[in-house]
Amino acid sequence: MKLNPDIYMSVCQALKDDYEIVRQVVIKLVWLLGRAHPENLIMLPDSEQEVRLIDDAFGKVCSGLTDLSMRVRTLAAKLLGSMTLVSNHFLNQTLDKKLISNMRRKRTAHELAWENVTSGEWASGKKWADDQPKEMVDADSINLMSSGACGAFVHGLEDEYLEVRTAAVESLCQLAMNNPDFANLSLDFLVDMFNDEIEDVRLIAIDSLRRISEHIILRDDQLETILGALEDFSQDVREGLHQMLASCRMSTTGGLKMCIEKLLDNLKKYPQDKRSTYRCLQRVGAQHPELVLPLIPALLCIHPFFDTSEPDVDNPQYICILILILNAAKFSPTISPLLEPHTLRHYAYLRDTMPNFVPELNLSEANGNTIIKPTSVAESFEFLKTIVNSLNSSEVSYRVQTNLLQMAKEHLNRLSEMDSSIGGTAQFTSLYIGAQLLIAQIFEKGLWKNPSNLATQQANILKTNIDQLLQNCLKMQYLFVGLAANECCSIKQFRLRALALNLIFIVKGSNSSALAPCHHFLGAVEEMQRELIMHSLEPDSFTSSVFKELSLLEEPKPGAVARILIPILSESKLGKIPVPNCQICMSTAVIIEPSNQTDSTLKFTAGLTMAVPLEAELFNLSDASRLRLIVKYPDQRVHIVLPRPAHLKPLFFDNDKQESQSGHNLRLLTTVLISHQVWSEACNVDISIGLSVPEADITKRKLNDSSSILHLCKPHKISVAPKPIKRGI
Amino acid sequence: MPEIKITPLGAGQDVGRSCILLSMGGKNIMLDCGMHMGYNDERRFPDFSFISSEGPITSYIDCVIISHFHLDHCGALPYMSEMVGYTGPIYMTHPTKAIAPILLEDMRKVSVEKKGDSNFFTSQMIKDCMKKVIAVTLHQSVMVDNELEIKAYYAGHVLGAAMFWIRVGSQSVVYTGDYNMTPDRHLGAAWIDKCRPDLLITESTYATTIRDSKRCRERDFLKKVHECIDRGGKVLIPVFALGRAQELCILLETYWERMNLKVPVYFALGLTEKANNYYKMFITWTNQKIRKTFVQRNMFDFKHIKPFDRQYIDNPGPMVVFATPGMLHAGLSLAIFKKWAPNENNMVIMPGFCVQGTVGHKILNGAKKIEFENRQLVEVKMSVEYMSFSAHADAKGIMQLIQYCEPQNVMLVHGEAVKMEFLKNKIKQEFNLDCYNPANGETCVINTTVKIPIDVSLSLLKAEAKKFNALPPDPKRQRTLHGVLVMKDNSICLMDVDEACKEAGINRHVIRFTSTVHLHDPGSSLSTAHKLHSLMMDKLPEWSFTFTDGSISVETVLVKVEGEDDDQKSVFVSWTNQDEELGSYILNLLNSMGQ
Repeated sequence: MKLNPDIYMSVCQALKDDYEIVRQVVIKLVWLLGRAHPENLIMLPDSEQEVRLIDDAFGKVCSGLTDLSMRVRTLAAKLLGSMTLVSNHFLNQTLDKKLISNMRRKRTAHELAWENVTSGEWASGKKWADDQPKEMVDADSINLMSSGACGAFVHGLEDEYLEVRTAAVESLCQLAMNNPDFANLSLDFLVDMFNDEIEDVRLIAIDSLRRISEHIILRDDQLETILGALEDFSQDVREGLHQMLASCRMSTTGGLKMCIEKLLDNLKKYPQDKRSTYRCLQRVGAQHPELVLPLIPALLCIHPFFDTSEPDVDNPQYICILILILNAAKFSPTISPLLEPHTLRHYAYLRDTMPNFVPELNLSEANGNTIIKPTSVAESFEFLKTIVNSLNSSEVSYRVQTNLLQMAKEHLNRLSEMDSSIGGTAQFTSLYIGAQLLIAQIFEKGLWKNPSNLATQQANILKTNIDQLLQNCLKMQYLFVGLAANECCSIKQFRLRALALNLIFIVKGSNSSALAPCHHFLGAVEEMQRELIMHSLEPDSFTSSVFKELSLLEEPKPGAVARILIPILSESKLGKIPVPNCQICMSTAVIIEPSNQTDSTLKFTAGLTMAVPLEAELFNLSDASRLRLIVKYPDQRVHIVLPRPAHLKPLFFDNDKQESQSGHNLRLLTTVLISHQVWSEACNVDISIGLSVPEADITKRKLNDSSSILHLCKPHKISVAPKPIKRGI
Repeated sequence: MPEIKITPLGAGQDVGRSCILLSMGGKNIMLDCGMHMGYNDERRFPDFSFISSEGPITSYIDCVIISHFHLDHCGALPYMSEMVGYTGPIYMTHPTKAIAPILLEDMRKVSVEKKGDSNFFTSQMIKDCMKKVIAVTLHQSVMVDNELEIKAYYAGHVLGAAMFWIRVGSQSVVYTGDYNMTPDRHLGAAWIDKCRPDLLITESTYATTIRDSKRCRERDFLKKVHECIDRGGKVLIPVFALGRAQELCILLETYWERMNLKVPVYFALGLTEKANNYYKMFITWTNQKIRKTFVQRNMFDFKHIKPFDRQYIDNPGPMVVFATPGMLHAGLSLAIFKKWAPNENNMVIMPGFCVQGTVGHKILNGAKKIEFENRQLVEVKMSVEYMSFSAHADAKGIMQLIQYCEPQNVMLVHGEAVKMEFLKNKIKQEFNLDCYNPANGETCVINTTVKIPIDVSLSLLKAEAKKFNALPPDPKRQRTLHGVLVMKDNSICLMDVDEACKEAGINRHVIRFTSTVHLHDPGSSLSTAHKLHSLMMDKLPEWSFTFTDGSISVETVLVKVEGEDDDQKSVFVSWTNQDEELGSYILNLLNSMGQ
């Protein structure tokens, strides 16, 4: 339903109502009308001029920013952001505030900075009156009552309440994203917000700046103020600034130099910013090749006559500079001839160790000793298909089949290491084959049918195999994203088979109660049935006969169910290996901090806790709430910790759309608490990241067992030494 | 015509010794009682002889209201209450009551012990005076006596500063004291509701200034301090003990926290420590951030700011020191300045205005060599910076306050006459309000409109509500009451006509106006009546007409057509006095039709 624009005038009359609820509703109405009929012309009262409805509405909403009530101000500040159709003239007014001092026109600090830059003269800062008011103002020309849009954002950003300030910053950003001119105007104000007393507001300001940064070319003086905030203690602030700097454009070589120096300085102060700084300098280099060029001799200490000493290639500062220069070199062919031979060697090294930061360069002479590793080729997917097809087609003896599977599994594992683009698919297929191999191994001797007759050792082997099989099924279910419905079902049918095996083993081979596993199995069957119907898929031979037989059964007692299952299991053949699907990705985690190589031992008082900072990157995660941190002590005690949701942040900011499909890419920045009683010497504690999965599939054997956790990465070791409490002094 | 009389004894077209006498509705109220810092003779106190040439003034003044603890607003209080003589109530907010005696005592010490002033109040007098003080809380409405009511509103400016709303009968006045419309690091912005007073008395220190955003100044300040300590220099910030000092402390403290700086920050002890305790206690008077976080950590429990010791002056390495007094004219700040001035790495930041003749004023004007009384010559190589951190409302802020509380008249005080003139014109021009700026001793009379409260009889209201509810809802329709105003033993009441007649024992008479219009219309009289009916329905769609036996009636108006089969019809119109408007409209309609 559309509102009738004719009510606009009468609605506006209520803007000065005594009740804040009324004013709130009026502002909302004005906003709605402005958005619904932006181009309607309305007559201004007491003048002949006509203005667009959206412009007038914008002015009215702006006036809400000086309202008496905080709620009205917050609402007005929020609504402003979505009035993007407003004309430039009115928009630019919102940041305008004429300063006067004793009736003389005075320039704002922002204007002052701008004039200094344009006149080529720097603020001396020595004179106390260099902001002295200049010309006299005509008393009649000043309009003290801010009419409409004038200075609205200046007010909003200075408001007493953080709710209003936050809303104002967000609106300012929204408007600036659609309007490059306004973006440049608002830059100064957003930079000022870096100095807000509340960190949330600062973060929003930095994030806003990042979002509008594509429109912005930074002046040197603006850059200087931004860089000033880089020393902030909060990592979020620093990383936000890094991203912002990465996407901005700088105007001069001097500015770029200042920026690089400050970044390097800061890296010294906060070594944990290494990766973020690399990423920042990578983009800075790629965006400003022509500005980087004149800086190269200074940055690399190249002397025209003398050979300087070769810098240490593991030094983060040096790596930063190399990343900057090499990324610039990709876009400027004149750079690479300038580089010294040792720099080119370092390039080869960096290209190999951190390929995502260093681009591929066509270096004429250095080609000989660099091995350029193709990251992804089309052939590998073809190869994968061939392997799988050959397995499905062959009608051969059991032994040959097993050998083939074994071979294929190895091939796939190697393939997943070589080609990251289809790594997930290869891993998945390999796991599937592995599960088939296990099942084949169990079936081989027919021992599974009556495990009670077996010797203890054989029974144990059987038990381990079954557990392994269940574990494999869980991995296939939870570690991958991008699975199609038919793949999901074939995994689940496989799991059903494994559950059936497990049930038979418990009924026949152990004296523990089989009620719970049986119940679980029946539940799984039901769920399977539902899912197959939902996706309208055909069940395989095993599943369909299970459905059939179970429906005939009157009372599903564990013994009866197991009796039915034995013939079905022994008769049914294994299903086909699913056709490779290149959409599949595997969830992985990389722990960046603490690094595995540190030799230093962390000491703390026994019985108390110690916080170890942990930084990890998580890829292709389907469900972040399953994430767990696992701390394993040398005495085999395991702590499983749920990380706080607030500590998870998206890894890349700009590609939100793509994520829904291939799972979440997240960044975990948190601290792990470690605590233990006294040890005689320092020992290693393992820290790793895993996914928690439902426990019902695997019978729990003992407390603190981590069988319900799937590890996402190899554990990192940190050396820890709890010290006894010192008594007395 | 009731009137409000205002006589400024101080702060009329002037800054300093604020003291304004207000009389309305037979009550006399003194607003603030300050002293002038620029004088050392009797001119420093307001001229109380204006009230009564001899003896105590208790009988002339009903109450005294103090807006905040700055000495130009409360400095003459002990003098007035103890030496002139006043025993009535004195109102101020809790923080003001706590901090004002500290400042008074400090000033007394300086005047008596340093300058050797006699004829000054004693410590005991300050104590006695404070005993007469009644503390009020924000938005608490206090009845001073049966007719006089006061209420305090938040004013920003300094801790405990308040604006006061004063009402006697139907007249009301708002006195702002000093206030600040932009929040700072430790205080919020002034706030007042739409109380629509007859008069707003506002300060106008910055009548002709519109200031840049606070953030710019803060950023500038922090940047300069940071640069200086980065190059290993020492920063001296001369401050007065209360107000701005706390703001700057919080600013530096949060910056140190944010940037993880380790350079020591010192604050010279003394007055401040005591005052800081009060800042910690009166958390409800501070801004949103401090109020929200004080449970975890009180912002005034400084983590990075430590007490200063004189021997730290010669410590090597960078440091930041806050020292009193603010204009570098004596004391610790001057001692530190002498030591640090010759080093070009060091810096001094003057956060406020400096009076002529002080060292602060000299160096701000670029003096490179300063000579002290004992022929000591100090070279000033350190950088000198000026930052204005003043907490008064600027012209826009004043206008905003006027917009908020919507007064009938505005009066400007506490500012320079020339600057007031500009603002006065602006207020007249943009709000169309009368604006006054009396000088000291000049009485200003403001006429106010009379408001007479009237009781309405309940039955009348209910009858109207019933009638209104019976109609289809339309919020824009005017709701009219029809009744009689009855004045009976000092009370005025609006009553239903019949009720009033009964009460007065009078029989009700009804007056009807009748008139006849001649129309030329062939056909039967009934058809003419039908025509008229449809015409009137058309012209007066909001009224309900009843049509019976050839006569049309609406409310009490009756229209009848007479004259059978004649071309000439006489239309008879009649109405009662209440429906005069409707009746004459219909008559006009018929008349104009007849022609």
